[in-house]
Amino acid sequence: MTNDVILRSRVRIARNIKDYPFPPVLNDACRKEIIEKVTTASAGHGYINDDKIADAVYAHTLSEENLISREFAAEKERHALLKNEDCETYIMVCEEDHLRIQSFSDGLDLAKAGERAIECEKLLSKKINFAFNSDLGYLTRCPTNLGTAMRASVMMFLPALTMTHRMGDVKTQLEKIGMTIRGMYGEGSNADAYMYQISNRLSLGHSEQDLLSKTAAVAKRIAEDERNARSAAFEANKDVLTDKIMRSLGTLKYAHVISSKEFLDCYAYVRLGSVLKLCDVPCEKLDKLLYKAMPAHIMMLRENAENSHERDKMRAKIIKEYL
Amino acid sequence: MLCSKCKTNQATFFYTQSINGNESSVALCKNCAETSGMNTVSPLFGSFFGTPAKSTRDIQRQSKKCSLCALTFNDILSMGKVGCPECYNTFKEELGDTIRSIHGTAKHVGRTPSGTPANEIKQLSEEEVLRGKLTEAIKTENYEEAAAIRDKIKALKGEN
Ligand SMILES: [Zn+2]
Ligand SMILES: [Zn+2]
Repeated sequence: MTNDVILRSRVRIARNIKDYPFPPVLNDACRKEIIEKVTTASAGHGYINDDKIADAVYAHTLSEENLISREFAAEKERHALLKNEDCETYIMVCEEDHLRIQSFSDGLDLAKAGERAIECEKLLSKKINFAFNSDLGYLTRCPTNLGTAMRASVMMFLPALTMTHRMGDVKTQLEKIGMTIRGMYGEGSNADAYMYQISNRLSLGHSEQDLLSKTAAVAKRIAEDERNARSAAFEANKDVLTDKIMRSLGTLKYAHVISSKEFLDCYAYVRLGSVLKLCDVPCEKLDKLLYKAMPAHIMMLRENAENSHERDKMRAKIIKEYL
Repeated sequence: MLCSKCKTNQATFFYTQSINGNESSVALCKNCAETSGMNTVSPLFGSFFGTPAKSTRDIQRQSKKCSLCALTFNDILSMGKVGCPECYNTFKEELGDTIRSIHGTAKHVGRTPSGTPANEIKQLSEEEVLRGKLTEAIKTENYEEAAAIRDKIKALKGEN
């Protein structure tokens, strides 16, 4: 039951190359040089250049899965994405910083995600001179990312804490200890499907190990609170909650046309039902479905799905095939 | 630049004030900014450094340009982000207090390009990881791999 609350761990490390301006003011020739440097440095270590990201729809499927940032998916200037064969580590080249290394692991395992990201950084640093200053650490475009330039984040499913209006408290508590909580799609996004990302806000003055273990400890505590809130909510409103969950499952199973918003609302209840063992759809299946039903994923499947009505029809069909 | 109110602390927050249509710039330290009710918490990009000021003193500052990206400090103020790694050298003094007010410190702890000294912690955990793999390899009777891992652990210790 590790994924009942925590779906995925992610560690992002920003790096910049000495003697080059940061990407927003970087000319095309320099972008090309940087991409070549990173490609050369990672060559022979299982990294491939994913040239499909030139396709905007494909790029957006990756951002829907949170594998790359939305800004990177929408990037107009020259940029590149390298990923390792296991799809556990991604290197965004020419994002806000020259490099953003992102590594993932299932459930709560920041240690593993951190190890993967650091391993990738070590590999690249053998061939690339990263901008560093002994006081400020690794130098980044935004001063908030200085120091380790590391963000450790955990994707959490928090329906009970949300329904009982406790996310405001959680947010306040987190901010007091230098952490932050955002919706599934980061800065400014709403908490769709009761999914949240918690991460460290500050990276200067704390070692990588500290950031990883602190974030993991906080995630564990929130997960415990969420589990308690679930039991309490279930005890108090068993019939109401069960009814809501089964109706949501019904909608997902039998709808002929379903919008992204309605899908996410129903999805959250069904996932909660799955965790509470009120319906027999496994969480693993639901986790895959979450992305499959998103707009860019549907557009990848069918070209004329640019029309939102067509897409909503297509979404209903995909969901039915899954459940 | 010293705080224009208490004249003792370093100014960290820069504001543009408009009194009877006359614009003037105010530079305050964190304390004074807070006691005079200025917003010192600016979580959004572009506002970490306050509003770009336009006083005569700032015009001198305007003339200093970063040797690599050619930005001035006012450019950085208006973007809320720096232009290149060299900016942190060029505008060391100007940026110092802002960085401290964001992070609560201006001293890096953690990994470095040369791998010292904070890396000792990492080395330890690397060894731990290998030991975990070793146990697993022995459990699954994968002795060839186990031997390789054991060599790696030895090498790791030898380096220290
Ligand atoms: Zn003052
Ligand atoms: Zn510069």
